Amino acid sequence: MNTRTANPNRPEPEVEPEGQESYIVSEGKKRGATRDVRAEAAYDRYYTVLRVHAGDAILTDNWHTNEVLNHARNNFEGVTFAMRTLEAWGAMIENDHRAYYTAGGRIWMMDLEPSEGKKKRLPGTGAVKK
Amino acid sequence: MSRVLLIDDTPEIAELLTFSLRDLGYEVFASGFTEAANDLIAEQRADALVLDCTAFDMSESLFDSVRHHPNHAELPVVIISDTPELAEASLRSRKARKVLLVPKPFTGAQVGRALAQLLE
Repeated sequence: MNTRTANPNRPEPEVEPEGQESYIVSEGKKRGATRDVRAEAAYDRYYTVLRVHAGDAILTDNWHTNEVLNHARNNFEGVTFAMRTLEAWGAMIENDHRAYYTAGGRIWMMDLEPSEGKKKRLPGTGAVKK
Repeated sequence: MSRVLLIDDTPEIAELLTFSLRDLGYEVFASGFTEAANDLIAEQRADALVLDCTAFDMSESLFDSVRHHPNHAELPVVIISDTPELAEASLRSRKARKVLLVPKPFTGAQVGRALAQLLE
C-alpha cells in the first residue's frame, strides 16, 4: 500500500498556471468558413463564377500578384457555388452578376451568372498550370 | 510597430503571409522550418511568433521549445493548423497560455486579428 506523508523539506508544489478559455480563433458559422454568412444566403441560390479579374485596375506583373490571381481563378472560375459557400469563402455578392473577393491585399472582381443548381465546371476555365 | 517572427515551411505561403501581415502594420521576419526558433526570436527581438508548419507536430515541438526557454514563456504565439480541434486538445491538456490557433484555410487578416488579440 502506498502511503504519502508530508515532507517538511519538500518544496511546496508550484501552482499550475491556468490555461486559456479558448484557443481557436473562429470566424463564420460554417465549418472551414472564414467569414460570416448572411441569413438570407441560407436559401440556396446558385451562381456560376464566369471570370475572376482585377476590374479596371492595372496589375503589376510580379510573382505575388500572379500567384494570387491564379489561385483565385483556379478556385472559382467556371465553378457553380451555392451563394452561402461563396460568402463563406469571403466573396461579397453585390448583385446577380458581380461579387468582390479580397485576396493578397487586393479586391478582385467576380463575374457571376445565376444558376438553377450545381453543375459541372465550365470547360477551359481557371488559370493554366505552368 | 510589433515585430513578428513567422516560421513557415512553405515558402509561397510564407511570402503571402508576410505580405499580408506587413500590410496590417506588422514588421515581419520569415523563416523556413528551424529548430533554432529561440535564437531567431532573440535575434529579431520578436514580440510574437507565428507558426505554420505542414504538420501540427512540428509546430507543437517548436512551441514547446519556445515555452521552455526562460525568456519566451509568455511570448504570444499564433499557430496555424489544419487540425485545430486536435491542436486545441493538445494545448488545453498542457494548459498553454498566450497562444491562439487559426484554422486552415485562413486569411492574413485572421492571423492579424489573432496577433492583435494576443498583443493587446
